Amino acid sequence: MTVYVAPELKPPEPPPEARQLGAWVWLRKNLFNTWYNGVLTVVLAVGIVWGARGAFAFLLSPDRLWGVIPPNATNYAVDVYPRPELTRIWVTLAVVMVLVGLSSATWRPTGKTSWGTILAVVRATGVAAFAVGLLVPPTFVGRNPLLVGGAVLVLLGAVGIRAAGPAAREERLPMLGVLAGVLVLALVVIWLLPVAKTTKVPWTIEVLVLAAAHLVGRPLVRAVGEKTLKVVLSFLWVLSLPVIYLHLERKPVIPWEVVVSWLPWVLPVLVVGYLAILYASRAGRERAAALNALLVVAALAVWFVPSPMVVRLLMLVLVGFTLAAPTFASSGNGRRNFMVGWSGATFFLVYFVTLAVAETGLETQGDFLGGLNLTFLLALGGMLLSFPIGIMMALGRTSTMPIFRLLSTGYIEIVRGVPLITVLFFADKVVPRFLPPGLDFDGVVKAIIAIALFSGAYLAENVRGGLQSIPKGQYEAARALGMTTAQMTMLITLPQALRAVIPAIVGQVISLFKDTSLVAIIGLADFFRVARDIVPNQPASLGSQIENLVMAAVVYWIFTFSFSRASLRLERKLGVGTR
Amino acid sequence: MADNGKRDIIICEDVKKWFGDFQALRGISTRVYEQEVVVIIGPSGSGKSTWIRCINRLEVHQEGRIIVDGIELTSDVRNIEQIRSEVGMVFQQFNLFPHLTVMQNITLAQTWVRKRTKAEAEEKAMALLERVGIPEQAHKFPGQLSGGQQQRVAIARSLAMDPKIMLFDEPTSALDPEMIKEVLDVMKELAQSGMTMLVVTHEMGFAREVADRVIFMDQGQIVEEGTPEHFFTNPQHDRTKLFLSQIL
Repeated sequence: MTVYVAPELKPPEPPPEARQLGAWVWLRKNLFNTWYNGVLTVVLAVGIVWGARGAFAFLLSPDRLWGVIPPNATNYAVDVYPRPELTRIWVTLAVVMVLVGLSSATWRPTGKTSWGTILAVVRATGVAAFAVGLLVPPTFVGRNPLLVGGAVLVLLGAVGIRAAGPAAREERLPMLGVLAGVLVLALVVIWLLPVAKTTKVPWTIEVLVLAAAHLVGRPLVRAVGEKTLKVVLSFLWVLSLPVIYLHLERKPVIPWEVVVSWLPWVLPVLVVGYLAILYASRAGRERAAALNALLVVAALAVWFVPSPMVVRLLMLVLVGFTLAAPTFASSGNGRRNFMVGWSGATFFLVYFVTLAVAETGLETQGDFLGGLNLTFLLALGGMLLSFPIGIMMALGRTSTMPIFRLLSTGYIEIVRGVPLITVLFFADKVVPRFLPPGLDFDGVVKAIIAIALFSGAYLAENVRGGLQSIPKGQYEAARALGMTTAQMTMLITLPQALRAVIPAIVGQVISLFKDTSLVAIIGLADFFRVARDIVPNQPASLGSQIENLVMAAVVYWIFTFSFSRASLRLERKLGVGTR
Repeated sequence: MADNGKRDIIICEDVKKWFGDFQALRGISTRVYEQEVVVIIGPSGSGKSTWIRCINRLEVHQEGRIIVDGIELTSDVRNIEQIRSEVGMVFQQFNLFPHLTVMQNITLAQTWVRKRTKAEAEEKAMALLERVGIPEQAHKFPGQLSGGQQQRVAIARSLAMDPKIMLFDEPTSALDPEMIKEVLDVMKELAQSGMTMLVVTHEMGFAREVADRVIFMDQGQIVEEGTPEHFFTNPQHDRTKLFLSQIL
């Protein structure tokens, strides 16, 4: 037996240089490595070329009425929303831009990219444009610009990559800066093209608002602190939806005398709330439970005495606060948060109920919201509301208490068993019959609730999958540290479960976004309905169904594709260092 | 009261536990006094883990009594949470929270269960990380640490609650041989500082060096218990002799 002893340990070496494959070798290796793969490649290539030529010939035929799309841009965006009030929509968008700008400054997407990647995108765009130029019918006027432009882009990309050399691969361009560059480019383009002033001026302002919000956000993060700002912004995002719907886009006529008549009710409840939270967070579990029982009785009692609706709702909210107080508010910090939360909840409840009872000051026939604006409201509202529903149902279904399990399982199975159209119909036609006379919601609110209830059931199943993927040891460790069930769920299992199912949740959001097109069934004019029915039936654009449908498909695709890209980035960000 | 004058902190009387038809514990009776270090050994399936998991009620015993620090374990929720916050537990699989940093792992329960302020909790966490020898890892995520480091964080996390008793459920069984020592060193230091410890382990060296008492279990019962010296030089029961002859 020979003995081997290493003389000294070897230091690590750099990996071998990746060999650059020539185009020919690449083709041989990937497309023609066996004779049947070669045949398949040729057949598929012929098929793709044939199909693409057909599609381009169809889309670019002189018979197509593409000219009807741009003049109808406002219709697609907002449908019949009164034109003199359009500023309200722009203000809505500005509100969103402010939130986006502040969020981007607070969350600071750290993604970086390189010149090489950008140039590669330029080159790929050139290749695509050139290929399209080859495939379009020879009579198409844009053929030569496509060919020439494509060639120029390919050349630009290729030369750029070669000139930059190995430096092109260094990832040091912030993704945010690149996005900003793209936005500026888009602005330049709309100012160069013959776009109406009423379009390009507001859009320029919106982009400036976005940039300003981002720039203001940076010092704000330093002044206020990242954590606080994140919490505040999350709340603002959630609040933005009702504020936009109730305040900005409805032009409410507020009945001040009614609001004033609530005050003798609201102020005492507010004070009782402070005292109750203080007591519940200090008195210990048993006495807090007794207080809660008392409050539940009181909350039910106000429904039987003639009192404003706002007070009834406020009492229910208070019960929620005092129920959670012994667990989450027993430290000084938690108590302060609960007091602030209760003040905020009171204020916003009064605010929302006030606006909900206010008549709209807009003079239109029927529903005043429509187009892409409505599509986004429905999607955003459905999404925000479906999260609490989905999470509660998922927790209910995995709960050890049979009554919760039964109720949530029943809910999930029933809702998942019926099509969304049924749920929408139900919300629109059946639910109002069970409401007290005189109390009915707008079609938009009903649609948002129906979509949220529907989507919540699917979300619940996704979240349940996430909860089940949490190892048993996590529960045991939390238990062994003395955490209560509520703390364990909120701090340990739920955050991990949600993280684990991001891809499924994004899938759900995408399908929710597309499903909003079904609200046409209850008479709402969302983007898809405008494109399918309303625009093609106008005298000036008769017979333009195909053009409208293609345009709608492209618009939906652009948004859903951006969602899925954004979620990929999010996954990568959360995946780092967590496993 | 134990014969050396120290107070009994854990009292088990005829503790029985079934999983379905299978009886995991067939009547465990013993007492552990304050500051005692008890090492529990035995073949797998002998009920060692089940027993110490009963002591902080991660498992529920069906018959008999368990009294921890004067409080009997019953199904009353308040008793359980009170006991859990005074009994720390370290698991074979560490069970750190992967979505939180090391620092957050250690401060989370302090702030939510012990109601300490964030500053207090962080100070405590930093002191404990110094004690287990990895203060520089405070802001990493558990997934970025080695197994031995993770287990030391888990020990720090338990200690942050100021427990009166520490339970160790095979703390070194999932570790590479080179990392076992770093965890055992922390446990030795803890034992010397006067912590009451119940340790399920296969590390006979640790048992011999640190334990005040060794308990050998098989088939859900205590087969033999005594000082380490008694155990490793003069075991009495045939089953004990067989077990020790196979592992030593």
